Amino acid sequence: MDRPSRDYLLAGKRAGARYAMAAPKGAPLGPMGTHLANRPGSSLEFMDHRAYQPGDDLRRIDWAAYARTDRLSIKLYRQEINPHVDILVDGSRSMDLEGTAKAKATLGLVALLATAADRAGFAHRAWIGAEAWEPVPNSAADPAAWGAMALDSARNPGEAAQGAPLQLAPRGMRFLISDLLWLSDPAAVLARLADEAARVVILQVLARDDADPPRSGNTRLVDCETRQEREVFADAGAVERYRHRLSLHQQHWHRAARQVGAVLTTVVAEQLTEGDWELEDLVAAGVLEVSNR
Amino acid sequence: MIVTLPWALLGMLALPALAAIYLLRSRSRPRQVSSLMLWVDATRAHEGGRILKTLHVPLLLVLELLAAALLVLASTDPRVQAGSAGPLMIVLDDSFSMQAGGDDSPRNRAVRTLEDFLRDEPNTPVQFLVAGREPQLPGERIRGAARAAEVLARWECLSPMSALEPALTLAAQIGGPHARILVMTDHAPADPDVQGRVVWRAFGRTCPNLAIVHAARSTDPARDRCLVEVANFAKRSRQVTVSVRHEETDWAPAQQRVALGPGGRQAVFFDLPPGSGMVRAVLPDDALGFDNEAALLPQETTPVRVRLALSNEPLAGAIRRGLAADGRARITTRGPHLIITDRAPAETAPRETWTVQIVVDAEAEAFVGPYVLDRSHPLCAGLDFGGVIWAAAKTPPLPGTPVVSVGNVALVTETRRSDEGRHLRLRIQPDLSNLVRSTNWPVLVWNLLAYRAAHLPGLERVNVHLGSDVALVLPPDVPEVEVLSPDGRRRRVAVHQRRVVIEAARPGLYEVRTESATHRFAASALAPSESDLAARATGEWGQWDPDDAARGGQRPLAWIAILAALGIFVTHLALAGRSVKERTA
Repeated sequence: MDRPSRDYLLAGKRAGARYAMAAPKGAPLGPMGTHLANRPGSSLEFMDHRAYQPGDDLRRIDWAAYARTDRLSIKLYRQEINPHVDILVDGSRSMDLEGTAKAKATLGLVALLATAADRAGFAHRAWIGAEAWEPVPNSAADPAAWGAMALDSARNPGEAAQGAPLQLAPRGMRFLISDLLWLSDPAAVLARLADEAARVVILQVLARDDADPPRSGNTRLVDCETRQEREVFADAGAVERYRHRLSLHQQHWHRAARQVGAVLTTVVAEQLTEGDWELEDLVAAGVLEVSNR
Repeated sequence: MIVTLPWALLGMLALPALAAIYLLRSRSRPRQVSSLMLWVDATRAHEGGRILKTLHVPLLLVLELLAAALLVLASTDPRVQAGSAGPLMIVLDDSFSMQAGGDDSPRNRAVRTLEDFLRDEPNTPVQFLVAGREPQLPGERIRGAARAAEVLARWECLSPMSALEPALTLAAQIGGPHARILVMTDHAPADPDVQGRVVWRAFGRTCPNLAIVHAARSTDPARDRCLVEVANFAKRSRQVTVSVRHEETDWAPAQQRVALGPGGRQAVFFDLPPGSGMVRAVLPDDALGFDNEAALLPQETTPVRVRLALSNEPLAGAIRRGLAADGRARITTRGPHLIITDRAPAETAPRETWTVQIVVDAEAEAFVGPYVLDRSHPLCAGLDFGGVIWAAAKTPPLPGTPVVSVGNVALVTETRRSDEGRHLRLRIQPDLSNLVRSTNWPVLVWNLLAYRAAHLPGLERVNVHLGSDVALVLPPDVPEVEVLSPDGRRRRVAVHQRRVVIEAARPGLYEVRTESATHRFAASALAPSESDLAARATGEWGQWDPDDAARGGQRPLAWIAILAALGIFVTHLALAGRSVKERTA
């Protein structure tokens, strides 16, 4: 990892020291794990009975019930979980847009979330979306020890998901950090991301120029990912139309997020990095807690 | 097409600058974006771009360049030659000093110069102006040296003066703003710094000259006497013989030798035998022969017949003394030209009889002034009523137009009769007045006789200066006269209100003939300022602007270029406005 990226991670780590990841609501604590899941598991807390099915663990047959009812039944115990945080980072080039703070904000946010998860006692892992979603080396450790996170892919997260299957921890908390400026069906993307997830949080990171393009007049726009070019006259009308389209695009994502119970919030990279990494939206949504420790 | 201000074409340098600004301004700046997906419907800039391939983009630039080029063109003051160049106004000094020197006179040298000059400008319209007593146009505008020679042949230089300044003013007025003005004279301009469109050329030469500057002849039954004044316009003393010769016999009845110092003048008197006809005072030939001769006719004084009908004897005596002081009055009772009476005159006086009614008031009031005189009236010439006591009654007022009045009291009035006769009224109480004993009285009587004599048939003067106007009063019912000039030309002149006025345009003897009489007068070139050749000069002053002359026949095109530029601007605004609407739609 190059020096700037490392600095970004460290900046995020420092910022994350103010926060702690909040556990999803309704998940009681257990003796082994830090949280109890709402589904049967291997904890000591009895949950229910069900009929024996071939292949069930014979050790869990309730023999006493068999003696009383002459029917084989299995004891179900509530699963004891230790919450896991997966942080998926859009590794496309647009996340490292030239002349913006998107890379700093993106890497910083990853480190911030990992640090907050760590402070809450959650396991965490970072993923980078390139040709496929790949785990960031050593990302379960302290961000200072992570491997390289190159934001230089020509593929967007939707296309990366078409690569090797993404192996996310079930019932974990999943964060997607992306600018969402790619064409795909948000509902399909979020449905896959929310599968077996305890919580899904989407952080849309936009550069200031993404959110409010300058009125630069005659401009030759270059797509940093595809290298396609387009001549535009970026006057007030064109910028207004751009912002309108961006707003529609964000609405689609919000609508899809609501359908899967995900939290979606947008941050402007420059405001975030220059504003002391304030993430009030995530605090308000119960994703993060301000730590007093 | 002619470009008047070619340096303004430097403005064309603005065109590549404009194009560069246009292209640089419209050149797209590259900018990386996260995605192009949200710029789907962004319109390509209309003002320009990296590649000028759409029609409307270069059209605006082309319109702007075209408009700028037209404005630059307009600033060069472009013109087309729609006709000939500005006219050449040639002012010819017509004074007789231009004849000094014989064949090599300033006039002849000016003619030769003009012929050469006009030969080089055969297509230039030329307008001659002759500056004599007053500027005159000798003809229409002409072209070519041949036509000019015809006009110059009529340039005789006979005037006693040259009105060059009025001629210059007239030339500037009728020549227009692009006319060139050329003055041909024999002296330098008053201000050597000749400005504007005037070129002043002088062909004169300083040379000594003797001249007759004044000549007069008085004739009465007792004697016939001539006065000749001779001037020496030279820097050294001269002795000269002045002789008087009879016109018809060339006999010299008298001559005198005169010694004149530098610039000196001397009057010479000659007594002629009674009955001498026209004589000529003659000087020897010198540089300017024109002023060496003066023609003198015997004075013909028309007597004014006066009838006195006055009952106031002191007053009648005073009038008689006044009439006696003027040789023109003949006191008579038959066919009077003038009746002076203290009674009411007859209602119907003969046409040739004027009446002067003296109203003697029994009760009068003495006035010491101030008197109000109609100075334009012939009766008031030379009168000065300072210290005069004039007694008269205030009422009843005198009818007629006041000539002399004091306060609201008219003392002398005049009534013009329908037959052009006059009825003068004078109100006075001589016993209480000192008017008749003052010097004004003979002046008043003299004016009265002169006033009447001026309306009697005959010439007012017989010996006149060159260039003078001579009035001839004719009997009634004479419609026209024939004038015979000294050069032998005859012309007929119509009579207006019994008068003809003849200009003595050349020196010599004039005859004015009617069916019943012949009147003669003589004109002499008596003009000291023209005879003085000491300040004549040769040279050229001033310079024409060749561009200014060329502009005379050109029509400006700048307004067309400006109008075209305005049209292009309007088109540009419409196209640009439409582009903005398209972008904002």
